[in-house]
Amino acid sequence: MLKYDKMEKIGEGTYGTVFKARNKDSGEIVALKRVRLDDDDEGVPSSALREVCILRELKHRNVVRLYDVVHSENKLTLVFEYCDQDLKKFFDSLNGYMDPQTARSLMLQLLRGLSFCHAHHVLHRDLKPQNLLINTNGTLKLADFGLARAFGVPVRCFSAEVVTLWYRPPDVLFGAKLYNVSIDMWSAGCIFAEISNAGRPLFPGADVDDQLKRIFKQLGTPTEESWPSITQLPDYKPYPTYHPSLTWSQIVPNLNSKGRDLMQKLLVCNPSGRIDAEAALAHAYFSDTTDL
Amino acid sequence: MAANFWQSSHAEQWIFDKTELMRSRSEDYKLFTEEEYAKFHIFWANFMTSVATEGVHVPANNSRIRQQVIATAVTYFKRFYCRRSFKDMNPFLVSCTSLFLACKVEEHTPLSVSSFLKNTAQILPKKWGVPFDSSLSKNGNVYDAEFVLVEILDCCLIVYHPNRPLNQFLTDINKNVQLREFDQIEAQCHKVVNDTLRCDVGLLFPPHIIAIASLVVGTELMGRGDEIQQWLSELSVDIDKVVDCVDQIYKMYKLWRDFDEKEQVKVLLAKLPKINMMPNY
Repeated sequence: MLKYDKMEKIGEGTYGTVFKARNKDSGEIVALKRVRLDDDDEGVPSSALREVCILRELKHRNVVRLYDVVHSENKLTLVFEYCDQDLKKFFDSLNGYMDPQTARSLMLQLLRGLSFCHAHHVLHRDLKPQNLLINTNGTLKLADFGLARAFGVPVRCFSAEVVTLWYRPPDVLFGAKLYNVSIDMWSAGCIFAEISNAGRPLFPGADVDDQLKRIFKQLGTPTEESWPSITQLPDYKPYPTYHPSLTWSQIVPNLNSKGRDLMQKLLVCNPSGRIDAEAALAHAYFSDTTDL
Repeated sequence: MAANFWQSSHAEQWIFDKTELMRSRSEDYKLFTEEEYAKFHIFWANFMTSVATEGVHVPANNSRIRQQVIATAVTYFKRFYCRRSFKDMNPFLVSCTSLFLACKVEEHTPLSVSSFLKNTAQILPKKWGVPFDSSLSKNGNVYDAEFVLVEILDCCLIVYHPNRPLNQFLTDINKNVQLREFDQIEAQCHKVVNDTLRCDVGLLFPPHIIAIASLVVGTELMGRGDEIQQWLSELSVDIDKVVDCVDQIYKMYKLWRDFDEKEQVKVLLAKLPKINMMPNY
């Protein structure tokens, strides 16, 4: 670790603390993620290993780069490319207004990163504004791949942020196993709305029940017709039949009609009806630039 | 992660040419002749296979998954000794740790280090008449070694194996050439692929070359090499590499056949440099 000068703590990841640091040789600023080791029989946590080997293979503009892994004094430290802020902090700097160009650029980059990951058979599974980093050039990068595919739902909760339900799709809230790209697409839809509204979350539920109610109040309660076999999901329970009271143009007033159309294709309760990343990138919202 | 081999760390960092490979082992070639070294690696692959498949800890899982974990582990082991020599780290420790790591990376049921080591302690004397070095049996050694392994392997933990391209080729052959007893050919070729873990082809050729070479060897061993000649000639592939790879697989089989493990492993192990369990990293 002699190679890096530790500067300040910048956050808490799925399995360890993150520091800002400077490479003594090159002067480059990096992010160091210290991997916590538990005293059980596991050695390096699977989640950390997963992140290491996945990011080792994923090299894309919109995916955070893993530069190095350093081992010293029985600790493992992952060295990442440094980004100035995450999307959440970016929202805070906006004073409540997001201009439509920026919103579209962020969404485009999010989908490009996702499409690349999905093409490599990698699901992120924990997309949220805190996991989307933005560097000084406005480039968005997917980060925090610590949720191992084998585990699905967050394994351990180190902070309230990890357990946030806000970006979790209804199928997962009903206990479905996470084996499909559709989980990331739902989260992308929620983030899309939040971006358009300069940081106001779309479905800020307090618990699983409240989360599902908020979703169904906006999208209508799914039925066996709209979502075959929904009642078979492990944690399924019936909800009252809600009818949407707000229109999409009321919910995302700054988004044009094409953007609203894309959002509705992402936010489909039935996972098999959700658009995938590649199709979303081909959507008219990105190609027709005349009406922002 | 099955998507693109050519953009993978495997393709970019872990395919060597023969001279490079020889040079990377120069330290160990001071202790072992080339032939001894090759035999030694046959032993390590056999040893890791035994530890993985013949123990108390082995869950009743399907054997294909188990084979993939073994293949990944043997690859870690071989890659490690391209970067380091036997005197840097004890190969028993590296082999156990490789298996432990591969189980996690391949999302196999995670195995506990304790049962792993217990298993090793039983298998060594039983199969090879070699006493188990008790200094190995501390769990902490494996945890420390895991760090070292991840570092030396440069975090390149995702390995591409020839089995997947082999399946594609077999499907293609089955569509284009009518072969009788196709399932026997299939089984034979997969067996050859698994056996290639006992030589260096995984460090020298991309997986699709090894898959084609295994097809050639597999069918020839059954005396039916002629039947895929037509299919082979229509492939657009670097045929020199295939020939080279085939050649190495045959050499390995010959060496393996002449290798009396019960007798020779002890001799080879005695040549290992006496080292501390953990190097100073």
